[in-house]
Amino acid sequence: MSDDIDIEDALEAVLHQCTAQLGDTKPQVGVLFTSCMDVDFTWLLGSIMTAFPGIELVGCTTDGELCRETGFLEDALALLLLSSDTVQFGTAVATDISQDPARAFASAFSSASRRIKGKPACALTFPDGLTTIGTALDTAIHESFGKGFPVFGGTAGDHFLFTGTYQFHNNRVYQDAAPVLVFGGEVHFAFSVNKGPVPTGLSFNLDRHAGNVVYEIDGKTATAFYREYLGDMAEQLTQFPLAVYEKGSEDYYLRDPLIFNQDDESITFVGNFPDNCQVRLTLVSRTDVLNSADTSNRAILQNDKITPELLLIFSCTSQRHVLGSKTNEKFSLLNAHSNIPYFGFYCYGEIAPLTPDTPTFFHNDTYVILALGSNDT
Amino acid sequence: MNKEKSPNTTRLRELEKECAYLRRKIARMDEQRERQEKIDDINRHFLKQSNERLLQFHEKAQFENVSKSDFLANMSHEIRTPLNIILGMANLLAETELSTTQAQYLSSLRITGRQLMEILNNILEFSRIEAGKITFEPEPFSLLKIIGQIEASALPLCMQKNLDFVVSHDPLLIMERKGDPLKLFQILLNLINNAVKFTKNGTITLLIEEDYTEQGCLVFNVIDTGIGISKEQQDVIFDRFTQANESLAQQHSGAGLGLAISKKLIEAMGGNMKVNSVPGEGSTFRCRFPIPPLAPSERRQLRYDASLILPDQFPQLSILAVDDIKENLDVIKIYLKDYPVSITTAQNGLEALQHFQDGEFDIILMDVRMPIMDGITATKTIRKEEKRTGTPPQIIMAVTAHAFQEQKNKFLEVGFDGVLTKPFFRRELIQTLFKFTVTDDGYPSSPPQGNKAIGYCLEYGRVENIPEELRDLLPQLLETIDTDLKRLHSNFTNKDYSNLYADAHSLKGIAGMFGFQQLASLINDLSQSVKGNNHTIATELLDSLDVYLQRLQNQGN
Repeated sequence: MSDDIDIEDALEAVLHQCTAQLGDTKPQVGVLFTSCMDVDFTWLLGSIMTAFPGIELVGCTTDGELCRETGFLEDALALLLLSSDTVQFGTAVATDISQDPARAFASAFSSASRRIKGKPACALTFPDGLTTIGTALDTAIHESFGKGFPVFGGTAGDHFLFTGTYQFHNNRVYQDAAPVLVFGGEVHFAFSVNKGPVPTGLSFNLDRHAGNVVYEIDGKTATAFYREYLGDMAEQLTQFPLAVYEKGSEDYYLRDPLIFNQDDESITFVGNFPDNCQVRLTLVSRTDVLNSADTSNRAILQNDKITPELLLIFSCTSQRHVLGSKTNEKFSLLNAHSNIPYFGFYCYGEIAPLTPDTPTFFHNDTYVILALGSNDT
Repeated sequence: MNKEKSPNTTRLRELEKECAYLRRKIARMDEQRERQEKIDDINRHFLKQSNERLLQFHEKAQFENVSKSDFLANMSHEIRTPLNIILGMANLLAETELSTTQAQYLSSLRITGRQLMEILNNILEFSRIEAGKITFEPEPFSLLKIIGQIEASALPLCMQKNLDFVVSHDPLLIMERKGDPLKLFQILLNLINNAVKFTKNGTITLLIEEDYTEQGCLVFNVIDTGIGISKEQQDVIFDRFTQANESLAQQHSGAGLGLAISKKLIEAMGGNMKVNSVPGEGSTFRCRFPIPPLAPSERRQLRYDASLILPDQFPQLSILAVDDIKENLDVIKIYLKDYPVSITTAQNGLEALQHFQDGEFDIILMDVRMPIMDGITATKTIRKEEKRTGTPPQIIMAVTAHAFQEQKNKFLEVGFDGVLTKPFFRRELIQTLFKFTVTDDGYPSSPPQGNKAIGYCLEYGRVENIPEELRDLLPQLLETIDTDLKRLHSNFTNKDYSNLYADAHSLKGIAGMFGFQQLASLINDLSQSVKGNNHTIATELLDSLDVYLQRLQNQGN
C-alpha cells in the first residue's frame, strides 16, 4: 500500500512491495482498493494486470484503505494478491445493480462460480455505495447467492465526495456495479460484526417512510426531528445513525442519514427501513467505536476453530471520521497479539451475516472482520 | 511517461512532492479536526436535548403515577363501599336461623367475599409498597390476639378443603410484643392463604419460635404438606404476579402478589424470609423479624381488647351516623343493636349539620363522600362553629373506603378525630367507638347510668360522680372483689384451675354488672393466660389485680 502523492510512484511502490513479497509465487487473484479519486483507473488496472499476467482483479474506490504494514491511510493505493494450491478463486461483476440487483448478482455469482471447481464456500462483493443506497442489497444477495450463503464485503466509497464511486473487475472500470470474488476449495472462515454508535434516549415511532427515505419521525418531519435533537449541523449529522428496532425485537441495527432533502424535509438514508419499526438516536463516541472493533478483533483472535492466514476488514467510513487520529487504535489488538496480515477498506455500508448461519445483512456503522484460512485446525 | 533525470531537478521534484504530500496531510487533518469538533458539539446537543426530554417524561410519569394512585384510591373506594355492605349483611345473615343449605351458600359467599377483599387489599398494598409509601405503626400488641385472628381467618379456609390447621409455639413465649400487628397479620395470613391454596390434604402449621440468636426476634414458620416448589420455581415465587404452579394457580383466586408483598414487608421490617421445599412433600416458609417483647410493666397496659368489650361494659352513647347509602347505616345499627347506644342518622353533610345544631352527640360517624354536602365540608363547618362559639370539640370519625394512609392523614388534617375504614366488622366499630368516646385518662366521655356507674367512676378516679343512692353498695362490693381475688390467688397457687376458671367467671360477672371494665379485662387475661399455660404472665396479672384492688380501695375510702 502507498499513499504517495504521485499515483505513478504510488503504483510503482505497491507493485514493488508485492513483487518482493511474492517471490516465485504466481498470484491468482488481486483485490485493489483506492481512495484516490482523480486517477485514470483504466490505466491503473491495466498496469496491474500487465504486472501480474493472468490474475483476476476485483476492487473499488473507497474512503480509505488499511493494511497491517501501514495501518489506515487515505489517498492511497492498496493491492492484495492471493495465491493458493487448495483454495480456488473465481471472479465476475454484477452490472446495473440498482436496476435489477437480484438478476445482476445471480448472473455474476453464476459466472464466478463456474471459474472454480466444486461448491462455492463464501464470497466477497463491493457494490456501488451510492447508486444502491435505496436498494435492498441483502434481499438481492439472498435471492441470488442463496439465503444461507455467506457474502462479505462493503460498498464502494468515493472518499466522502458523494459524486460517484467506481468498481473494478480485471481491466474494466464500472459504476452501479458489484465485483464478486467467490472462494471455493479448502477455504475456512470465521467472522465477527459489531456496531459502533450506541442508542441513547427515548424510542420514537418511524411514522412515514418509503424504502430508505424517511419522511416523519415522532410526528415531525425527519429533518425537523434531527435538527431538534442534534442541532443544525447537517453536514456532520450524517455521522449520527438511527438505531432501528423491528417490531417485537430488542436488538437493533443502524442506518446512516446521507441526504437531508430540503424540499420535503425528508432524509435519505443508506439502507432501507422495515415497516412498523421504532427508532432511537445514537451517541457517537470514540470509546464505543473502539470497543466494538476490539470486541470483533478479540472474537477472531480467540476463535480456536480456525487458523487465519488473512484478515479482511470492512469498516464503516463513519467510524474513521469519528475516530480521527485514533483510527489506528482499532487495530491495536491485531498488531499486539498476532502476525496475521490484514487488509481492508472504509466503506459506505458493510455486508456480512450478523452471526454464523444467519442470512447476509446490509449494515451501517459496523466493523466487520473476516478471517480466512486454508487449514482447518 | 518522461521523468526528469538531473539530480537537482529530481531533488526539486522530491521536495515538491513532499510539500504537496504534507499539505494534503495537513488539509486532511484540518478536515478531521473540524469534523470531530462538530461531532462533539452534536453529541453535547443531543445529550442536553435527550436529558431535557427524559426529564419531561420523568415529570409526566410522576404526574401520571399520582393519577394512578388517585385512580387506585377511587377504585378502592368504589369497590369497598358495596363490599362493605355485602360482607356486613352476610355476617348479619349468618347470625340468623338458616337451613344447612343456606348456611353452606352463605359460607361460600362470605369466604369469597373475604377473598375479594384480600385481593383488593393486596393490589392496593403492593401499589403502595412500589410507590415507597409503606409505613409501619409499631405499637404494643398481643400476639395471642393475632393468633386468634389468624385462626379465625384460616380455619374456614382449611375446613373447606378438609385440612387441619395447627398453631404451635413455645409455652413460655412472651405474647405481649411491640410491632405493627396489622402488618404481621397481613404477612401471616398471606403465607397461610398461599399454603392452603397449594395443599390438597394434610396440615397447615403455624409454628412460632423465639430466635435465641438475636434478642427480640421471632421466627414464624408456615409449614404445609402441599405440592411443594422446585428449586427453579423457588427463585421466582417472590416476584410479583408470579405463582409457582401456574396451572394450579389458575384454579384459585389471587393476583400472585401475596408472597411478594410478604417478602417486601418483612424486609422493610428488617427481617428476611426463606423457603425450604421438596416437590411432592410440602413447603416451609420461614420468616424472621424483630418483634421485641414488652417490658413487664408495659404488658399490663395491654387492654381494651375489642373482643372483651361486651354490651354491659360499653358506655351509653349517643351517636350520629351519617351516610348517603342507607344500607351502610343499617349495618351500623344492626352491629350496635345489643349495645347501650342511641343512633340518629343523616344522609348527607347538611342533614348532619342540622342534627348537630339540634342535639348532643358523643360521637359522629361521618361518611366522606356524600351528595349535597360531603363529610369534609360538614366537618370543617362544625369545627368553625366550635371555634366561633367556644364549645368543646365534637368527636367526629371519618367513615370511608379510602384505605391509603396519606388519605387518612388528610382527613385528620381537615378536622376528623380518626378514621374508620370500610369495610369494617362489628368488632372494629365497637373498638373504635369505645376508644374514641373515652377521655384521655380512660374515663368515658359519657358515664354510664345505673349500677355500672360505680365501676366506671372508681376505675377512672371520679368517685365523686358515683350517684348518691349507690354509694352504700361500695364497701360490700369492694369486699366481694377482695375475697374473690384472694380465692383466685389460692386456686392458682394450688393449681386448682377449674375452680380458678369458675371464680374468674363469677368475678367477671360482678365486674360486668357494676361497670368494672378494667377488672373484667384483667380477669379475662388471667383466664386466657392460665389456659395457655402462660404462668409467668398469669402471676403478673394476679399482681396487677392486687394493685388494681388497692387503687379501688383507696378510691372507695
